Amino acid sequence: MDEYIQPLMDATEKTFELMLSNSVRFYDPTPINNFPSNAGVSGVIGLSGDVAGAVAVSFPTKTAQAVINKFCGMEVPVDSEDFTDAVGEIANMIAGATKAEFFGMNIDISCPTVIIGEGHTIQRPSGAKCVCIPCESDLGRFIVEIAIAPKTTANARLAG
Amino acid sequence: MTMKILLVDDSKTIRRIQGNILSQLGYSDIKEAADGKEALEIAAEFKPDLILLDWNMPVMDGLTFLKTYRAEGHKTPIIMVTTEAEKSRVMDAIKAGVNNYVVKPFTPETLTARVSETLKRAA
Repeated sequence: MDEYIQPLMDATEKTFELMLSNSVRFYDPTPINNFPSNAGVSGVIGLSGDVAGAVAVSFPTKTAQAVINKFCGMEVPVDSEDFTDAVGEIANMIAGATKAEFFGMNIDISCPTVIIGEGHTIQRPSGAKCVCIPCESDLGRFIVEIAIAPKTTANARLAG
Repeated sequence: MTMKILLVDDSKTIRRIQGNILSQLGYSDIKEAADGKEALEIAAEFKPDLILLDWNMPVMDGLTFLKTYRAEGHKTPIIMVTTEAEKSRVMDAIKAGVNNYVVKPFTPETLTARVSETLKRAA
């Protein structure tokens, strides 16, 4: 999974710098199966094609509010459609910029799924390998994660 | 004559950001569509002078819109604004008739520059 770490970090850094004028500090990547329970808002993008998997960004609610207010340039209520849309777009940009660095691979990305709810977790498919990178910006702490199952594994699971 | 611009993106947030950037450039006749199918319907009546087009959208994606729109004979300049950054995808879009390309995430300066150069080329 090491090959996915730098693309995910670069994509996160680029998204925060260009869209939020904010720099990101990264902590040591760790393999995990679930998000930590302080997640209040998550944006998830599915990956398909040469790999099966997902890219997710997960914030405590307070951090998500700060990020989305900055992204939209105005106060956006957490329970609004605009908030969900903006979280999805942040996830979309991170996932898109990540997969752009998977040279030689043909990967499609899904439309975003956004989960809102204190302490939620996102269950990974069994067999998928995960890398979770804790991040910190001036807007608060958050997590980016990539979960990948090689297509052959995914096909075998579907066939089985 | 007022420049008519159509923004096509399934994200309302992105359409708003693009709209704000274009407003600051003095463009005010702007319409929005959330997918390719809706964009085809709006474009038929609105007859835009420029289209900003996302790639990954539900219902009809940007590349399908682009191919359909060009097949109908429209020469309106189109800027693809998308997370699809791989060379092969950019080539697909160019072959389908896109005029310029902006990779998300983007800065206002990048979008402004691409809009200006695309309109200049089309003039």
